Amino acid sequence: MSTEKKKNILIVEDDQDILLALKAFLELEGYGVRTAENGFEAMELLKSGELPNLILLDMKMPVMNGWQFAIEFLAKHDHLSPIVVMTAAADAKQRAQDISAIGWVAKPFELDDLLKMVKKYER
Amino acid sequence: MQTEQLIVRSNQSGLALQESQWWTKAQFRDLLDSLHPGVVVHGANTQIVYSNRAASMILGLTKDQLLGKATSDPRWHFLRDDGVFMPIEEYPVSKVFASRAPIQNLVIGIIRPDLEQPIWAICNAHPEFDEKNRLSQVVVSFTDITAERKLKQELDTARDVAEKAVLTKTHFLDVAAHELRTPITAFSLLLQISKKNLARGLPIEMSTLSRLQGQADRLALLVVELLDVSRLERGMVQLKLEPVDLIHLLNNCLQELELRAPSRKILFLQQHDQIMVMMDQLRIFQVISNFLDNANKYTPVDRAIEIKVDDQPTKVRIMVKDSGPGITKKLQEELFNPLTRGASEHEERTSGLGLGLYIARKIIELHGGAIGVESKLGEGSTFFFEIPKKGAQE
Ligand SMILES: [Mg+2]
Repeated sequence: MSTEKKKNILIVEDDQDILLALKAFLELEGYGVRTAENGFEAMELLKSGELPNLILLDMKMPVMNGWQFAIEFLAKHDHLSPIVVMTAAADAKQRAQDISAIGWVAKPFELDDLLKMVKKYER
Repeated sequence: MQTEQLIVRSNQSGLALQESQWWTKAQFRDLLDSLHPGVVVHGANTQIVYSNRAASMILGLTKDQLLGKATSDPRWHFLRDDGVFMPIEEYPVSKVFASRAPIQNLVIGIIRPDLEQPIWAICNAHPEFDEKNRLSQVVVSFTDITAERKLKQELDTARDVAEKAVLTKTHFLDVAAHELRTPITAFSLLLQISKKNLARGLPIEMSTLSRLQGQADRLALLVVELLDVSRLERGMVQLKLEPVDLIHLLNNCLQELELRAPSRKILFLQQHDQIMVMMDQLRIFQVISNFLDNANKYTPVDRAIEIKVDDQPTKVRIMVKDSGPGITKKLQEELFNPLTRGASEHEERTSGLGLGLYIARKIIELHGGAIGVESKLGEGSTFFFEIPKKGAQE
């Protein structure tokens, strides 16, 4: 297919089923996918390799939640990887603004809508 | 106007006077003394020249003590409606003397040296002038409203509590909706990816069906949790008390945890073979499982959970120690109330309705026991409960 280098997505999400479905879908769409089950794991993972072209970030997670992750990520890498928030909160947009994320999807969402978001904001 | 020469025709049937009779000074004084409001008259030099019986009752001073007193005595204080001390220049009498204008329906608190709580009164004061328009006296009347005020405060408090409860319930619904959306999202995404796979000629995998089942179970559990709280709050839960070996029960709980988290290290220093306690087995199981689940959630994968049992003569104490991040003092206090897993939304750390510890508290309280947590930030937390051992050792 494309000769372009695969784009890389980091998914940070504590629900393993959501994580699995998203990974399978994005890989199907030709992305390279890395996953972390909380903010801490994600920060560890980012210590090596290139920064992802986009981060899909859940907010409510154990150990290190989305807010804490966003603060640490921005402090370390600024806005080098755009962050799209995935949240089940009623005020998803507000959540995204809180952490100056570039976009948001409200759970539950359609995979095709998510793909549009990814394509729109990926670096 | 001089009281002694004052003559009034009465038409009040309540007084034992004939329609046509003139009032004597003594009868007039009796009338003033029979009034519910306190009446104090200050002469032109601000000193008290008259007071009735109710004034003595409200101010806590005899007539003799009152007469001759000026506007202020340092042992008595007045409060404003909002409970703040009133400066002397704001005292009703001072104000009327200064402004020559009446005061109407001013709420004041009276702090008496002999009472701990202030007396509250509605105060009216009006000036009287002589023929040369000089202020001749100030008549102050005040009605005790302490009881009414207390009632109003109680109503205000009750209303605040009710409003807070509504807010809590609203917040609760928000959180419940949020928590229900997570398994629904997983469910929906698994179905969506399965459909995409089917469309490409790929089969639906058994593991996907198992995951769907798992999320359906999780939804069902959330609903059970909601119903449980509802029943506990309405006092609809009856304990089935029977003598149970707590050590045996603990081991069952730990076995179940092992199924859910096979790699988790658990330290259980077993110093007792058997501890018989009167309890509702299923409910205590629920509490211990909740403690273990929380500890499992918050303890890093490579760290252990510690279980301890302290067998005392009258009660038994179960402790579950995690090496999680620890819990702030403020949060510790709120932890056993509904929906206070995170002090703020930004502190939300994990999924679940946050009702587990609240349910646990209710269950332990029904057993006549106590529940709590000891924690230091960075040093993990120890959740414990104790239940009385009465009646189980026969
Ligand atoms: Mg989550």
